[in-house]
Amino acid sequence: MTDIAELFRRDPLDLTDDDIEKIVEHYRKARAAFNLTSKPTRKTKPKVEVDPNAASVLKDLGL
Amino acid sequence: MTEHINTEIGQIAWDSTSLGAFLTCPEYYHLRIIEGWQTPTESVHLRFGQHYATALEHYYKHRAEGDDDLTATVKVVREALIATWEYGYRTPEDATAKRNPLPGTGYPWVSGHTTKTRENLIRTIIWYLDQFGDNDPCEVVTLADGSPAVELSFRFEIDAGLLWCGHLDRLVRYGDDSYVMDQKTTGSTIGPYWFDQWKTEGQFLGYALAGQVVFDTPVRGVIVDGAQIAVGFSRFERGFINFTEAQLNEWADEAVEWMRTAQQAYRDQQWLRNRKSCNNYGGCPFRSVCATDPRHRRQFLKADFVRRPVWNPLETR
Repeated sequence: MTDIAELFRRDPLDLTDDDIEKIVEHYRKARAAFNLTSKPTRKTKPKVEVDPNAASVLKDLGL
Repeated sequence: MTEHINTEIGQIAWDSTSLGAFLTCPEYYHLRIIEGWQTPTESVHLRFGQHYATALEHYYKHRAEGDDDLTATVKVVREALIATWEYGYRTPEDATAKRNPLPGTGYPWVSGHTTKTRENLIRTIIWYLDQFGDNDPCEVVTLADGSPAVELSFRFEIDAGLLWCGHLDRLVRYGDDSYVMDQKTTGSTIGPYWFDQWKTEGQFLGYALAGQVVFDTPVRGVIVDGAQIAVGFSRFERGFINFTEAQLNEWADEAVEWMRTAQQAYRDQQWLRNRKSCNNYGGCPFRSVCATDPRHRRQFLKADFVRRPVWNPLETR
């Protein structure tokens, strides 16, 4: 069982300020980690450029 | 009957909960607000939302009293942990008021919900304060008596013989404007569509009007801080909802008309059913009662529901 899980299972009237600061620190770190990984990904250019003119020629040819 | 209901006239002190109940369905209002029937189990969404809003209110109160960010955060996390521990109590009165919990008794609250859990409540409080606590561009308004504008219970006469009551989390200043600030939690992704639902919400129009009338502050509207509660994260979005003077007056006129209509229904003891509301928001809790033969409804109520003290808008927090 992790320290945090153990703190959550204890009667909160028995928790010291240090115990609660550990909970705060744990979740602040978790948020920082979440923000690092949840940044929206930048749109990248497609690896192959599609030439719309070429596409319409192919369509006209029935290909 | 309590003081907010006159036995001759009907309800005379109103808030957004009781007015919203009547607008949802007169029979729902009758059973829930006038008679006090409830399901035996409490709503996890209501409890989660109340603990969350209380924590943020208290944080700003502690800050206004001089605590730094960490001290205030530790205080509200402790309060939330205690509030979500199912303690034993010495007397039934203490149990009802949740005061003087017996140390060494009880167990943690088990919500039975996938995301609105005790741990996620604490995470959401800490993450919100991490994002906005020390970095919020909104400043809490200081009232004329020097006190911070947090945890504000209000009541005023909205029309002859009718009181409008409620509770504001806090009044804030953003730039040159004042706003009522409110917190909402959801399981959904928060975007423009989510904020649109609040633009015609009577609760918010009533808050904005109260801010102007009771606290003598020109209130531009309501700032809604939406919290998306997910399994592995909580995400926050802020929306500004502005109201014009004409919109507030229009809402007040309509609200008064609805209150008078409800009083008439009370005097006539004629509670119509709005059957279009039966299946909204997961279904009305009284749907099973209304679905039975009218002769058997009271038996169904007594079997499946409990009567709690009726909702009283005059109770301050």
